[in-house]
Formats: sequence, structure tokens, C-alpha cells
Amino acid sequence: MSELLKITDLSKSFGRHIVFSDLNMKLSPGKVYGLLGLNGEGKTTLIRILLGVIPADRGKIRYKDSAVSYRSAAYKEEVGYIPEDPFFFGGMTVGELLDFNAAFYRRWDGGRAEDLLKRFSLDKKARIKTLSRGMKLRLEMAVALAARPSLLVLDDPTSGLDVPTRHDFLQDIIRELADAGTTLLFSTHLVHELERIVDHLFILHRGRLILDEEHEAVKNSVRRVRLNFQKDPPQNLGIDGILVESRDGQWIEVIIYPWSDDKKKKLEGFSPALLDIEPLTLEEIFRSFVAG
Amino acid sequence: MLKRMIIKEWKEKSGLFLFALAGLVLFFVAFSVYSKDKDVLEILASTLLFIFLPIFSLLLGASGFSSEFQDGAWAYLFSRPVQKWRVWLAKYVSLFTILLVVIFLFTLLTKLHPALKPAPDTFNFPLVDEYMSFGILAFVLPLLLFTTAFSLSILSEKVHVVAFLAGLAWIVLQVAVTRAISPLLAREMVPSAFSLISLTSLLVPLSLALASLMTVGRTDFSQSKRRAWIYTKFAALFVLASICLIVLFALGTGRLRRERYVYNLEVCNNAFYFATERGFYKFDLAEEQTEKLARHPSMWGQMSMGGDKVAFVTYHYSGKWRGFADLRIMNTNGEEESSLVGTENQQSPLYGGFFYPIRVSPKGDRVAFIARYVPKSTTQELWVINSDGSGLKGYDLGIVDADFYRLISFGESERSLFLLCTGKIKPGSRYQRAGARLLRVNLDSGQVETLADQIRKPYVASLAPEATTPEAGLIAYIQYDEGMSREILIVLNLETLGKHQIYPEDSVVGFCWNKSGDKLAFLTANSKLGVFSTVEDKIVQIKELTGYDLRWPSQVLDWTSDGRLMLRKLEQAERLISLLDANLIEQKTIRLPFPSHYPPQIWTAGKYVIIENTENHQLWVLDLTTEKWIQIY
Amino acid sequence: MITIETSGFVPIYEQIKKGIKSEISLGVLKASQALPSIRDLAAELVVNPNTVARAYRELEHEGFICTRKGKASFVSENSSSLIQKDTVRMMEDVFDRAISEARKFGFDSAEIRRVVESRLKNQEKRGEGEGR
Repeated sequence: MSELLKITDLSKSFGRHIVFSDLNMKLSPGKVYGLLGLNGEGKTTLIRILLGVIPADRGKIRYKDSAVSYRSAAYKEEVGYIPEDPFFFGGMTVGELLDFNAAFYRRWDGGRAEDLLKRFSLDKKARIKTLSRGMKLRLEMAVALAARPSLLVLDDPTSGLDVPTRHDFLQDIIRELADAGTTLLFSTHLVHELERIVDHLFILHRGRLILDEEHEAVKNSVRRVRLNFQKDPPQNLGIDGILVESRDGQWIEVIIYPWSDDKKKKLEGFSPALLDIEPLTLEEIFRSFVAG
Repeated sequence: MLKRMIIKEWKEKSGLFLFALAGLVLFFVAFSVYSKDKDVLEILASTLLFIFLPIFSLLLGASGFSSEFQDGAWAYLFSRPVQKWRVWLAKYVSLFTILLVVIFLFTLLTKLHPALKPAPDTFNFPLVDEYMSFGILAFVLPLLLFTTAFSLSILSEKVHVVAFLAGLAWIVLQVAVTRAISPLLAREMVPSAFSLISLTSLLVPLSLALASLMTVGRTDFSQSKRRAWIYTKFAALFVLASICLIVLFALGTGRLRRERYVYNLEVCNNAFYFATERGFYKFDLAEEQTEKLARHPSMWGQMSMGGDKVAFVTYHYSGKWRGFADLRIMNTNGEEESSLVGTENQQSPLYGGFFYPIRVSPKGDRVAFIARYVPKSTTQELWVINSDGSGLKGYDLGIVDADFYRLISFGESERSLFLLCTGKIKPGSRYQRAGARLLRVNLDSGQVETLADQIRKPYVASLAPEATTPEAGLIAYIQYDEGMSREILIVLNLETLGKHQIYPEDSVVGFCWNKSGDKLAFLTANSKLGVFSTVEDKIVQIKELTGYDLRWPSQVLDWTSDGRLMLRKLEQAERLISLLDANLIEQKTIRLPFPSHYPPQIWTAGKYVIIENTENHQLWVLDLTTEKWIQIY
Repeated sequence: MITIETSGFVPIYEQIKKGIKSEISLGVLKASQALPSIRDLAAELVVNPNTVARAYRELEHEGFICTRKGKASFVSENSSSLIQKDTVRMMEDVFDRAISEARKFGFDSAEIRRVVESRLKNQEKRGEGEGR
């Protein structure tokens, strides 16, 4: 099985507002996928569609070679979900929530659930209402991981949490990855966190997937180039793939994707006084992509 | 999953459950406090049944999805690996268990509370008619309301709004259905009406529930407007389908079909004329063919024949609850049908009225009828009109507050009209009617004379047949004698006004003149059959009968034209009639061609006997000479 | 200690490799010593286990470590000798970067040499205090 998940021509709109149209994505097993995008631009909607919370208007989704839809339920037994704002059933206790979920998942591992509870220091009798945000996140994780998912989908789970909590959370995720080889789809706008673990990047911007590339490849082909000219700088640099261009007097700074030696030669052809080429952090890359 | 859902819902809706328990306690206390006061108990029970339980059911149903909306937990629930319709169903069942428990507790309360025990008839609500019972109301109504509210709960998280909407929808449904079925009710087809109302009341909430289920499985729950729109479409579809089903059912089982009830049968000129709900028919003996003469829906089968004419009243609905009557006349061969007078036309002197009963004169030149509730003339209730439509004349009978009239016949060379009328029922004496009065109206002078009163069941008086031609006539009727506390058969001489009591030893329950008017057969309450001869002025035969079915004596006793009496014989399934000779000895038994559990109506005409199978309203004719049965309707 | 930083040119797996090599050359990791499991190292560094796995794979391919029984990884016997060659290469990279950095500020080769000399002298004086 080469693909865990395949999304074809997925489209969704709310009334007249088109969230995205004709989206195509593929997830291979065992990798960490990052879904980046600005807030409110469809990441959560896409994830909700994947989890069958809301239906898509058009398009197909295939999970492990079977077509799944809004009405399918079986495939979700292998998909774990940690949502952005964990809302639970009011007065339930931790233990009750685990029990409730255990009924749904075929692969539920009660022993694992217990272990996770202990590791996360969650009290079974505690009412969910009384838990802090960080504890709620842990609970969500315990539930998701106890079901032994093949695919774990996280929708911006760490926003609003402090750094140590986020750090711990990522560590737990990593342990899970190492133990089970779970495929991860991590949607966030906190890009720098993702940087250390992501294998493959998706950037969803204005309803389209403007980037669908391996992390390393992206890092290798995005460059910030600073040029300085003693005379007037050229109006048009004449290369494509300029994501961002800014000028300040005799300085031109461009962010280019994809970078190539040809482009380097072309820029050198302008005989700049200074030609400085730098890589960018993932955060900067992301911002460049969504600047346009 | 179901077990967990039940636990979850019980926890979430515990507030509502406590509310129900509080109500239980309150009612318990109230019942105890007012245990002596029957009226208050009845009011409390009504409140419980018609206000508390329904409101609780509505609130419970409406809260179905509200908690999910509030927390945003619906997204969590939908992201679980479970089909959404299962979620809906599990929720429904879970909440249903709460409802069951509450109803059970309340039923226990009403069954076990000492104040309610000894008076079971406290729950004969005057509002509730005999077809409903406490059990159905206590269980079915809350269930249907709950289902409706639960179905609508997917539309909004505001519980009070949904509960209100569901209640409103229910009321609108009941009103609409009752309106739609009003023609049935007006025609007194109550069992049909009831079954249709029940079916609708069951199917519509079911449709709404199905629509709710499908909406949950198919729409984007995050878009509330779209959700509502899709739901409306599904709901409309299913409700429409239900209505089609109901109409098909009604038509298929004949519930909407007009009753074939045979109201009246008269014999005239070698033909039988009878009126049913479907129209007016003639069976020609020579041709042995049944022919439909008029298609009009006749009102309560009213028809009357005289000479070569037949008059009947038709009725049609226009607009809401209003109906209009039309008195029509035609020849017995079905030709020359015309309207004599109607109640629809505002110019008509009888506008807004209501014709019942009617009588055609023996020569067929005049029609007498009672018109009631005519706004223009409230004192004149008896009217006579010529067969050509002229000469409409009203008569003031000097009766105030009459309950009903019965026109007996024209008499004394058509100078007089005989009729019975009764006064209104006194309050409280539901089963005791005041006696009827026998009146003779002189049609020329308008003078009204009371010949007798205290006439009781079966409220018949009949003129001996030959009295239509000679001057003097005899009229027989049953009168209640206070002194003897019995119904006495009396023959009144119209000329001398002398009254002759026939067989006062027994209460007489029915009588029948023979075709020549010289013999009067009667049945008594002690199962005796007697024959009185007017010629000999004495009882010529009296015999105690065994083995005969003497119920409905006015329908079951009749003379054949050759002087034999006909009675229904008692046997399983009512299949025999027997003919008795002049000595009241059983001469012949004839088998009915159909099995019947209900007593058939019997008429005689010459050598024919006509029997109505009252079970399925067929009409059969037996030729006494050939003993051959023909079904004519 | 291995530290990972994400803002530069160097891929994470390279940094891990470098870190391990550094530890070997500094003697923190001795020959035949067990390396932390992929799981543990990934969690500690908060990086993708695949990345750690890749680093380990390449180190094994380069001969610095060996994996027994498909589970644990150990520092190989001849690691120290290999380190020497590798270290030189690494240092060349470091200096390359320093030089290009200096060029951004307009330093020419002579100025660069001057800076390097002065800094070395400075470090030597200090280094005597810190010791190795």
C-alpha cells in the first residue's frame, strides 16, 4: 500500500465563500506531514472533512485504497484526532470519557490507556470541566493514542499553551511516532515547532495548495537573496519564482523558490556590488509563501 | 455504544429528570390534599395528562441535541468512528428511556394513589370521547410529542424555541387533520375519522423523525441555515409521502368511500326504490335490474315517494363547515328532476335552513317537510310545497324548542298531516327522553291539534293503510302510561278520536299494519306476538314466541301481501327468517344468502321480501314463490 | 551534547551526525559504547525519529557506528581514527562559512587572516585557563 490517504479534487464552500476547490493531496504511511496556513483559511475545514465531521461538496477521499465519505465510519477507527479546542461532554470524568471512546474503536488498548493516564498524571475520577487546557490536551492524546491509530491528525493542538507544555507534548508525539510508525498530519500556524519534525509540507493558502513538497527539498530550494547595486538597481530581475521582493534604495531583497544555479548566474549577470544568498527558517519560508 | 450513550444522556438531562420528579411529588401532594374533592381531582388529572406530561415530553425531546450544540461537542461526536444515524438513534433511545421511566412513575402514581383508586370513572373526561382511553393518552401522546421535538432539536440549541415549535407543529397538525376530515365527521363516519386521525398522528411524527435522521447523516452540521433547509426538504418529502400513504390506505380500505348504508326503501309500481349515501336507486322487478336514478349524495337517505313522484334532499358542502340542502323531486322513472326549494340561495325563504324529514303526498302532488334553523322564520317549521315548485306555505305548529320531528303521513284525503314531535331533552336525563306528541295539522286552515302525547320509543305512529282513501282512518302508536308504567299500544280513531288500548297487559315494543289495513301485528316486551283485527275489534291471535330474534322490533316484523307474518329466527349467525301463517304457526323457514352478525332489515312487497345485509350493506330480494335470491345492491 | 538549530543551512540529520561525531572525538562517547535509542534521542532532541534514524544510518554507512541485532547501536571500534579525517572536513566547512560571512562585511583575504590570527592568540591565552 503506497498511500495511506489520497484526496482528489476536494471542494468545500460555505454559502458563497469558497474555502477550497479541487484540492489534491497524498499521504504516505510513516511520515510526518505539516499542514500550514494562515488562520481561517481552511485547515480546520479540511481536517474536519477528513474526519467526517462535515461533508465536502465535491471530491473523493480514499483511505488505504477504499473510498470513504462523510457517511463512512469504519476507517475512522484507525484515525486519531486531536482537535484545536477540545470540547468534551460536560460532566464526564476522565475515566468515563475513555470508556465512552473505548466502545467505538476496535483497536482500543485499555492497557495503553492506563499507561498513558499514568504518564500524563491524569486522575480517572477528575471531571473534565476541572482540567486545565494542558491537561485536556493530554487527555485528548491519551484517547487518540489508546486507539492505536494508523493516522494521527492534529489540528493546532498547542496554541494557547506555554512552552514547556508544548515541548512535552511534542516529545510525547515523537515517542508515539518512534514506537508505532504512526503517520502524522499536523496542522498549525506555529511553524517553528513543526520544523524539527516535519517530513513533508503542505501550505494551504486562499483555497489552494500552493506548496506540496518534502521539507528538505523546500529548505534546499528557498533562498533569500540580497543584492546591492552601486548604480540604480534593475527594474526587473528577469527570473521567475520570486515570492517576495522588497527594495530599499540600492538594495533589493528577494525570496526565491525554486532556487537554481541558473538563477544565480542570471543574478550575477547584473553585476551587483553584493550578492548574498541565505537559507530561511521554515517560519520565514511559510511567511514568504503566504505573503502574496 | 448504546449503553454509554444512555449513561451520558441520563447524566446530561438529569436536570429535566429532577424536574419531572419534582412534578411527581407535587401531584402526589395535590392528590392527597384534595382527595375528597372529585372535581379538583379531575382537574388535577387533566393538568397532569394534558399539560405536564406533554410539556415534559416536548422539553425532553427538544433538549436532544442542544448540549451537543452548546459545547461544540457535536464535532467531537461526529469525528468518532460511528455512523451518524446511529448516533441519532442512540440518543433517541437514550432519551426515550428517560421518558419511559417518567411515564411509568406517573402511571404508578395514578394507579396507586389512594385518592384516585375508588373512582375510576373520574377519568371519563368529557373531552375524551369513547374511543380514547387514559392509557393511550398517557403513553402515546407524550411519545409522539417527544419524537416531534427530538426531530426538530437538530435545528437549534435553544431548547425552549424547539419545544415551542414542536408543540405548535403538533397543534397545527391536529387542526389541519380535523379540518380535512370534517366531511367524514359531518356524515357521522366517526370510526373512519378516528382511524385516519390516529394514522396521521402516528405517521407525521415518524416522517419528521426520519427526516431528522437523514439530515444528520447527510448535511453539514456546522451550517445551521443549510441544515434547516435540507431538513425542511426532507420533512416535506416524508410528510407528503405519509399523506399519500394515508389517502391510499383510506381509499383502499374503503374508509373514504361513501357508506353504502341503505336508509329507506319504498315499493311502488313493481319496483323498489331505495336511497343510500351514494344515491337513489330503482330496482325494476320486471327487468330485474338495478338502476341508479340520481347521483346526488342524499342527506341521511331522505327520500319519500308518492304517486309517480319521488322527492329527496341533497346536501353539498361549500366552503368551511357550511353545507346546503336542496329539496328535489323527480319522476319515478328518473326523469324530470327538478329542485323544489333550496337553502343556499339568499333569496330563498328557507335560506340557511336544514330539511329533515320530508314526505310526499300519496298522489304525488305535494311535498311536506320540516325545515329548521331558518333565520328568516323561526316559528314556522312545517312547510308544504306543490310538486311543481309553487305554493310554498309555512305552518306555525306552536311548538317551542322542539327536539325532533317525525312526519308520519298525509291523511284524510290529504287534508291533514300527521306528525310526531318531541321537546328538548332535560339536562341530566340523558337516557330519558320526554314523550313525543302526535299532532294533526289541517293543511287548509293551519289548525294544529294534539291527538296524543307521551309517545315513547320507537317513536312511531302509523296510519292503517286504507285510511288514505276513506274518510275515517285509524292511527296506531305506542304511548307511555304513567299509571301502569308501561308502553301501551293504542289505536286512535281519527273521526271519533276514540282511543282503544290494545293488549295493555304487556309493554308493546313494536307493531306493524298489514297491507290491507285490517290487521295490526304487535310484539311485546315478554316475547309475545299478537294480531289485532280492526274489523273484529279484538285480538285474534296471541302467542308466546321462542327461538326468534325480537331485537329491533320495528325492523324485524312485517306482513307479506298474502297475510303471512315474517320474523327473524334466532340461530347462530342470524341466517334464517321464518314465515308464520294466520295462526302464527311457523310455516316456512328461509335461509339468508349471506352470513350476518347483525340483524338484517326486512321489508316485504307483494310476493317479495327484501333484506338488507346491514354488515356490508347489500340488498337482496327474495321471490317468495320461487324462493330465489337476487342481490340488487 | 547535541544541539539542534533550525535556522541555518545544515539539515537536522547532519547536525545530529555532527553532534555524535563531536562526542566521539571528545571522548564522551567511547568505542563500543551504546548510543541512545532512536526513540529516546528523538524525544530528547524533539526531532522526527526518522531524522535520527537517517543520521544513524548514515553514520553506520560511514563506519562510525554499527547496529547489532537491528536494535541497539554502538560506537564502532575504529571510530576514533575515522573521526580524525572527518573532523578536518568539518572544520573546513566551519571556516568556509566564517570566511563567507566576513566577505559580506567587505573583508578581504588579508584582513580575514589577521582576524584569524588574533583570535587564535586570544583563545590560546584563555584556553590555558580552561584546559582540555
